[in-house]
Amino acid sequence: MSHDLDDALRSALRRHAEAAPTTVDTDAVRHRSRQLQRRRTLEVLGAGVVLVAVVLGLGALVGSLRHDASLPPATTESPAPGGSTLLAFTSSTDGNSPVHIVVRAGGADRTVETPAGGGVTLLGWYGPEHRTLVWAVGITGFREGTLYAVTVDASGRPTGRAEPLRIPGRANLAPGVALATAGGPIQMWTPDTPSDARSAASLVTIAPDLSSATSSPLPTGLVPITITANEIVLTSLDRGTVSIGRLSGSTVGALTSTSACSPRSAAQPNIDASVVAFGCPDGSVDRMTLAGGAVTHLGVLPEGTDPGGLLGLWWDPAGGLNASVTPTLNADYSVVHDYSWSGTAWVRSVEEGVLTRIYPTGSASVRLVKKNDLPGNIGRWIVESSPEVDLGQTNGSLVVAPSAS
Amino acid sequence: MEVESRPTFDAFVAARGTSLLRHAYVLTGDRYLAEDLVQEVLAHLYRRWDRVAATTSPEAYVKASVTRQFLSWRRRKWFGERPTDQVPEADAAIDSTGSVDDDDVLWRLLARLPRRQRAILALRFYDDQSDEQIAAILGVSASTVRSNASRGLATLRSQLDPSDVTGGVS
Repeated sequence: MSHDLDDALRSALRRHAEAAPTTVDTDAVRHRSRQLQRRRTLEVLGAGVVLVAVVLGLGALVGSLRHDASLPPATTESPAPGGSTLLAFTSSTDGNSPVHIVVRAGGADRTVETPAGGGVTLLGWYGPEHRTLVWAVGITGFREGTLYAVTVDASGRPTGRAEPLRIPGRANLAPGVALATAGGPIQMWTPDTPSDARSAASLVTIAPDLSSATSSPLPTGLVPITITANEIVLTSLDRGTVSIGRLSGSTVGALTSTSACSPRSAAQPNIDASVVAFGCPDGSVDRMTLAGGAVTHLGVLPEGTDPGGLLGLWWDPAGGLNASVTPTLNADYSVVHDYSWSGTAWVRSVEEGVLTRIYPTGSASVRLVKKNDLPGNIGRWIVESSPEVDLGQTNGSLVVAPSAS
Repeated sequence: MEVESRPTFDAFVAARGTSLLRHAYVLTGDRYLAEDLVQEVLAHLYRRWDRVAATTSPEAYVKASVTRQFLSWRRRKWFGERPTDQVPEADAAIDSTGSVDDDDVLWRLLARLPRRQRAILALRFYDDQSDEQIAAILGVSASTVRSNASRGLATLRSQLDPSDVTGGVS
C-alpha cells in the first residue's frame, strides 16, 4: 500500500472534493467585508499602543544593557537579583497556542497567564516602584479592550493572579482603546455605550501610580490613534479625518483639523514626538507635524498598493522615515521589504525582513523580525546591543520597567 | 491595442467559487468550515479586489490566501481542534485494491494530521503544486515543505500499515 500512497491520496482528495459546497454567498461576503472594515479601523487604533509602549520602555532597557553587560541571555535561568530590570513581553509556545506574558528579571522568566479571548497589548509598568504590569486584552482594542494587571515582587515573581485593573474610587473601567506615554498616565478612550463606537466617549486618565483616574468628554465619533505627552491625535470612524488636540492633564483642548489621509496604519511618532507618520489607503504615507498639523503627503510606497501592503513605519535617529511592506502573496509577513524616504522618493533598503525598528538611544536599536518557520504573524524581538538579547517569540508587544535598578 | 480583461469580483466568484470551495474543503475536511473560510478570505479581499484582479492569477492569489488563513493561529481556536503527529489507529484497514473505503480512511487520517502537513499534502496532491510553489505560498523554504510532506506521509503510512515505520514520525 505504501508505494501507492501518492496515488491513493490524489484519489481520495479529488473524490472527496466533489462533496464540497458549490456556491459562495456573495451577499454574506459583502456583509462580512463591511464588518471587517469596521473592525480593521479599530485594530489600527489599538495597534498604535504597541509601539508607543515599546518606545517608552526601551530607553531604560538599552541603558541597562550599556551599564550591565552581564545581563544574561534568554536561556539563562539563574535566580533574579533584587532590583534588576523588569522586562515583560508576550509570547506563545509555538506560535499557535494562546498568548501568555513572560516577565523577565535578572535572567529568570516567569509566565503570567492572561485571559483568553483576544490579543494582548502590554501597556507598561505602573504603580509603586513600577512593579505592576498593565495590559489590555482584546483584538480590536475596543469592547474587548479590558485592562488587566499583575504585581510582581523585586525578583519579578508575581504576587498574585492577573486580575482586571481596579482603581480606587471607580467601580470598574469600561473597555476601550488604551494608550500609554513615557512615564505618564494610561489614557483610555471609552465609548459611553460600549457596543457603539459612535456614541459619546470619554478619555479616562489613569495616574501612573494607579491610585486614581479622571475622565473628561471627547468629541463624539472621534477615536485616538496615538498620543504623546502633549498631544492626542484622533480620527473619525466615519470619514477618516484626522484631528490633533492639545492635552492638558486629562483634558483635550480645541481640535485642529488636518488634511491628512484616512489612516490605514497606526500613527508612529518620531523620537522627539514632534511628527507622526501613518499609511494611507492609496499606499502613500502622510507625515504630520503635531504642532499645527501641517501635513506632507509622501509618495506611494513601492509595493504599498499590493494586497499585502504596508506593514509598519519607523523613524531612525536622524529623523529619517522607514517603511516595511510585504509583496503580493506574502501577506503573512514571510517576505518583508524595507524602504527609506530619501526626501523625494522611497528607496529600497539593503536590509530586508525587518518589520519595524526602534532607536531609543543613538545607534542601539530593536528590530522585530519574522521567524520564518512558524505559522502566523509571529516575530522575534531582538535587542541589538552587546550582548544581543533574544526575547523569543512574541506578537510584538514589549515593555520595560522605567527603573533599571 | 488589446485591453487587459480583469474579472470583476462577482464574475470571479461565479466562475471560480466552486474551485475555491473545493480547495478549502480539502484543507478543512468540513463543508461548513470550508464555506466560512472562503467567505472570510473573500471578505478580506473584497475591498481591494482591483489589486487582486490585477495579479497574474487572481485564483492563485485567493487560493494562497485561503491556505494561509487556514494555517493562521487564530483559526485554530475557531476550529477547536488539536492536531497531532500521533494519529489514532485507522478506523478501518485499507485493502490493496484502492476501493472507495480506502479513500474514506485516507480522508479521515489526513484530517487528523497537523495542519501544516495536511495543507502541504493537499497542495501537492490535490492542486498539483510543486514544492517550490508550496514554499512560496506558505512563506517557508522548499526543504521545510519536503520535510513536512515526508512526515505527513510517514504518519499516514504507519497508520495504514503499522509494519511500515521506515519513514518515522518525529
